[in-house]
Amino acid sequence: MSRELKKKYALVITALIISALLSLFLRLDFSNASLILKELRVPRLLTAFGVGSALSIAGLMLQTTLANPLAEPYTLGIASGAALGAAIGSSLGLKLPFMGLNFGAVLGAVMVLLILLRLTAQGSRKSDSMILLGIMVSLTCASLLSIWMVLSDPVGVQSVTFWLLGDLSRVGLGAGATLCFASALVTSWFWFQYRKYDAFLMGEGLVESFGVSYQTTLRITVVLISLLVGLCVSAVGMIGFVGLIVPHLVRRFLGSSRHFHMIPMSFLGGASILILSDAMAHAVGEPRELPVGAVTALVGAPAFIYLFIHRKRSEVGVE
Amino acid sequence: MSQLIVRKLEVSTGDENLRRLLNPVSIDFSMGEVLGIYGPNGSGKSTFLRALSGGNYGLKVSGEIWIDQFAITQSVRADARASVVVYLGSDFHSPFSLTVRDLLEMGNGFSATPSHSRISEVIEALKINEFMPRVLNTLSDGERQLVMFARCLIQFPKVLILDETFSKLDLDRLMLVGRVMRQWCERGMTFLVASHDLNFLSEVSDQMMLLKKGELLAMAQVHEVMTPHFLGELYPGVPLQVVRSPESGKLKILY
Repeated sequence: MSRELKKKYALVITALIISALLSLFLRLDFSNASLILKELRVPRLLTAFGVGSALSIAGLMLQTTLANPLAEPYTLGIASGAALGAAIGSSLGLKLPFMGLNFGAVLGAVMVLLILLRLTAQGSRKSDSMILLGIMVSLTCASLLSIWMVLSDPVGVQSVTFWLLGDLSRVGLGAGATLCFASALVTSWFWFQYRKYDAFLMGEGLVESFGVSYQTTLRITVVLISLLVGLCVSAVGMIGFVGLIVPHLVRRFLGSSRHFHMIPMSFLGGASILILSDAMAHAVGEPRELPVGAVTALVGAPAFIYLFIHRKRSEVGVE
Repeated sequence: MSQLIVRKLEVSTGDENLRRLLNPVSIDFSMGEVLGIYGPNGSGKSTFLRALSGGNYGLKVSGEIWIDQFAITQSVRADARASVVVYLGSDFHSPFSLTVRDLLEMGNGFSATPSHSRISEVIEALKINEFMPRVLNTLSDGERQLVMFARCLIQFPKVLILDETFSKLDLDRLMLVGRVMRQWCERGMTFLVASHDLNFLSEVSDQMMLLKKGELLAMAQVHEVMTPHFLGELYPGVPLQVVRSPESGKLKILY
């Protein structure tokens, strides 16, 4: 590894540590520190680490395999599909006993992805039509979710906010650790296949020329991402734009799109950004709490607009 | 001697209409040579070449393809196929910012990263050293075509299919590419080249294949195919003249 790269890794890891320290100790009531840390802040830190890294990796892999720089679980409607699935699943008792994994969420995410892949022919995946369709699917799922919550649960309206804006405070230590573990596991699987994903960088027409099966790789990726996003959404609701912004930042930062470094960097970067956003959401609104999804969207949505407008230029690589 | 053998290769559209795109074609071709493929627009050049590559282009393909005793079908695994045959089109864009260096060094999806000596040999042969630090999408179309050609030489499949891959290359680089193709032929690589530049095809090809309306019109040595008779069949009524270049002794066309 070159010296420059080592420096970059050191920088990202430092950022991660600083975010983690902020998240643990910012505005901590020291008279009761050990209890608060153990019961509230450490689980929350773990959750933010797991979800942030998972969403960032999901965004990266979706952008790569669909050859669409605007793809991510949120803009494609996968997150809303998972939220709808999770809400229906938990009312029907589909919740698995361990660590809050909700089958419904995974099913919802898979369904939305399959519908999107059906609706878009191969050529149109890199175009805006895929994002437009994703946003429409997302709106449909969000409306269905609201209706379902209100009808099935008298205090459902409040829970809707949880699903739509994300909340890291409800997750326990075990579930937080599971999220981290799942995210690390799926990320390592992607990382061991980094050559395959590099073959997607010239667009789908050349994937097979580089000796990689387009359909098989896409299918496996879709299933793994749905699992990961389903798990995250069922634990913390929808948190948007982490998956969009982090891979873009990391690509700029590394000056390369190759996956050998993109994957670990996006993993670490996603974790630090969500940990930081959560610490902010927690500290700024004190004693109330801002929903972390609102914080990421506040930064993420304008960034999406920027990327959308400047995409043509950034795609041709003018820095 | 190893051969590329095609038996009754027939292609239709993959949809329910099953419109016939290519009538049965059977050819035998020696490996390590260049086959030029020529025909008017819509004559089935790309269809033939795509079918030959075994890739999934939404086409319904029947017939047999053997490359050096290896059967090519759409069900062969992509990694096994890509070391035998690679299809390259003409339009290359990356949705991401990817440098030429990254593209050439990243290797393929199935084997170890290519050796530095192999990469630098290709870079030198094609004189693309100055492009290395540049982002692919900032190159001109022709330069990008050259880089993708380099990418495939590094991968070194047995058969490289070049479907209009040099359509935007300047004259100097086109000549260079022709020489490099001949050099790589001597190392055992086989090229199938479709182009509308008949003079270029005549320069590089050992044999030529003419297609007309999804039908194989002729396949033989260049001097047997590049005749007023056959060209007249392709373009009836177009005044064409076939002359021999005093320099290279190759046939050229005037219009």
